[in-house]
Amino acid sequence: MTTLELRRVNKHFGGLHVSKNISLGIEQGELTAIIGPNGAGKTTLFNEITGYITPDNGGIFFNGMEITGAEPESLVKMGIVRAFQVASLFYDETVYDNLYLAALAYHGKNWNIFADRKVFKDVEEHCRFILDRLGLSGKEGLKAFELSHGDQKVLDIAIALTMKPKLLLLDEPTAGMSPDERVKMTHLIRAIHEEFKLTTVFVEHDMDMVFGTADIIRVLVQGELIAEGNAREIQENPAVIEAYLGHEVL
Amino acid sequence: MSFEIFISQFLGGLSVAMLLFLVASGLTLIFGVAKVFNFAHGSFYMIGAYFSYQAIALFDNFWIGAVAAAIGAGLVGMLLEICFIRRIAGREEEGAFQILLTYAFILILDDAVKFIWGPAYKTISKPESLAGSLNFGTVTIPTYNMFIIFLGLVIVTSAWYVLSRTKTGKIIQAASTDAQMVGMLGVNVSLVMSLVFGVATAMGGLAGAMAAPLRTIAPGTGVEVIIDSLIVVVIGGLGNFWGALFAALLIGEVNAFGILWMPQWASLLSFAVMIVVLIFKPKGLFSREKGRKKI
Amino acid sequence: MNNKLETMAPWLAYFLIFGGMIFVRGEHSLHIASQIIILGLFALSFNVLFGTTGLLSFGQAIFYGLGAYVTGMMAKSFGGDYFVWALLVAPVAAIALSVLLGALSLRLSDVYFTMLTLAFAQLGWGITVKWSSFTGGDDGIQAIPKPPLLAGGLNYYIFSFIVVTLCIYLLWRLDRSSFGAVLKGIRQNPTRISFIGMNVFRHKLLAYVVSSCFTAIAGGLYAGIDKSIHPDMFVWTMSGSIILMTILGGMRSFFGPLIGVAVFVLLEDEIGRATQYWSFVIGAIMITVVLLFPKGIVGISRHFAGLFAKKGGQLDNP
Repeated sequence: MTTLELRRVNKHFGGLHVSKNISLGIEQGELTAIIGPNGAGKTTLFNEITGYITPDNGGIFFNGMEITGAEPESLVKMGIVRAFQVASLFYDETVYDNLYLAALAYHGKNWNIFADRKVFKDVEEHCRFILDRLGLSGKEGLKAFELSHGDQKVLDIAIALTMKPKLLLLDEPTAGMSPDERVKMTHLIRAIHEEFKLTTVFVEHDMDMVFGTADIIRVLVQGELIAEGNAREIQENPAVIEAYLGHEVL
Repeated sequence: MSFEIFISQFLGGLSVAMLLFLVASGLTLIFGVAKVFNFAHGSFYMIGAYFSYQAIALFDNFWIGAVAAAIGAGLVGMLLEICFIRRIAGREEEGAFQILLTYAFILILDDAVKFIWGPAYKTISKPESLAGSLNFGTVTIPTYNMFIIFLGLVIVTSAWYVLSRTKTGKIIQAASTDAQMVGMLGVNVSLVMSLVFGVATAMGGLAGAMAAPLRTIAPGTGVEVIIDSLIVVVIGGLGNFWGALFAALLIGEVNAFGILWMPQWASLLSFAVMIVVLIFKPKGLFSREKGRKKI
Repeated sequence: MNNKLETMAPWLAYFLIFGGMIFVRGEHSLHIASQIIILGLFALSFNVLFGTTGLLSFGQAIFYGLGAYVTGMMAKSFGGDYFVWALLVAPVAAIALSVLLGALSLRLSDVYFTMLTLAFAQLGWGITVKWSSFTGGDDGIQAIPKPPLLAGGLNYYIFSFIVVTLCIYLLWRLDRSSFGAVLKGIRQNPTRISFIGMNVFRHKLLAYVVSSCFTAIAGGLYAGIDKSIHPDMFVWTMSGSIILMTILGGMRSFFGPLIGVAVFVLLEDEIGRATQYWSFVIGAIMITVVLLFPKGIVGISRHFAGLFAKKGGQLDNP
């Protein structure tokens, strides 16, 4: 079954054509990477899928239902959740409280005005589970700004996972990480993909990670989807070699 | 409404609009370039009027008064920018603190003029050369109002020229989009910001001096002016120079004709206009953003 | 330090000081104390918007004035026995008005929101002044009747103390509730709040309505202190003073605004009587606080407490 489908999606920013007639279908349970040089329109594509911006025309479908132009919060409720290129956290709050806010939203407890926040046992258990699963348990009392860069990215993904996504979008999960942290992050992404049978899309520049992890790779160049296929197909695709691999040496 | 009344109300509204634009364009310029919301901008209008009063008392010349108002208000503006506003740049929640800091200036400047010139209101008279009126057939217009309209046009044109046709204007525009990069190119960005602040407050001061013969000079007049200017820049879009001009004209005319239509409530009409604009265009009439903002 | 003690200590101090005032005789001290708790409720309500949600409204005075006028005008037309009922209508009126104004202004960002709230408050002030046949115009309303039980200064103080304490308790619960946590999240990262599936605008609107509702109760209580109200309650310097008191005390701490109000009112009582340049003093205090002590009195004392405990700063913000 196709989880996410884009039909002829276009977006302009002024004179720039940042999404050119993009059509694609992502199957349920797929782990797919979107690659492309800087400025190829990868983050724009994520923004369109998650409702941050609306495409000029074309349609976006989630499990067969049209979601073009829907608000981010309703898409999150449907199960489309993202993590950010620059970790988007509540920096003055503790690690636990960052997850607490997400769990609160997931359980719909965010409108309780006068009830003490500690009473929601389901919310607390939910947070504990995510903390343990992502190896953040020892750091739950630290404030988000005190974490290392790598841990901030992990927390960002942890917040996304707290929302129990059906489709998880990760924008450059290893950006700015040390080689060590990259290996850990790669393992983490593969592990959660397998454990939760999660349809996962990630944007990435680290080619080792892309070719080692993704089932399917899609190549975006100047707003255009020029190729899709498994690692071997992409490596042998002449359009990719010309447009992409030719410039950026692996 | 007879044609005569229409023309005289229209021109009256136009002269009010020009004074309003002199203040509002400074407010919008500071916001557009320095990203500072100068809540105290109306107070520079007020001290401009007082400086002009003082200069006229000393030299008995209206034009010296106008120059003193512009220079004096500009210098005070630069001083406050250098001593205070600059110090909170880059702080968390900078916007809120800017508003509070400039709000404090209002309180201080109001009391300062009360301390120096006393709480009683002051008046100055029109320069003799402009004291008469002009007759266009059956319509009579005070010469001074026509002069203000003329002066407003001159300032609009020269501001446009400086901002879009000169090197200084290009530096100002570049600094407003990427101050850091312009700084790398060897431009003293903080000096540019201070100068913009100085020029904008000088325009406010000049407006105060020009308006003084038509209104009174008193502590607290800055407050009315800032509220009107706020309405103008919000309608035109913060930082939008031409938007401010259009909105000033709109508000000036709405007031001029509103006073005929519903005299008691005319002063509240500008609010109504602003609220209507904001409902349909939350970022002002000339914002490019279509529809509502996400998030 | 014991966590429970740390949370309860401010409450203990609150009851000792303001409850203790009941046993202090003296018209003037009671008058000052009433002003502190009533303006304190105003400031604490305002801080739900400012310190918690990060929304700088420059027009909360409109709800303060509204509360006072609804209470004052109803008591005046129906008689003193209806004073308490009028006090209950005030927050309802504020809820209605704040839903309308909030829906208009909260869609706008930062400076636009601040300016629009200011414009609304000035509009409210303008209407109050101009519609003199209904509101008494510039003169305001005098000789507002109260029920016999609340007539004396002491009785009215006790009544205000009970109402204010109840309201502060509710605001305190809100601060510690899950909704309060969402508001703090909105202040820090509204984008992330939408991307965990919560609607930023609706949360802001509820915060605005709650804040305005309690502000109107403060306004209504004020109508009973001197039994007179005036259009100046709407004016922007009223909003401005509340903002100043809030940062003076500390906007990141729940009780900070109340401390700010107490210091401010006591200062005004001392200095305001001695000089006609009180605004100048307010301006100077504001500049000092904004430039040097943006975390307010609570921030400073936490800083020193941290130094003594050799733990470094324990401030809310890095």
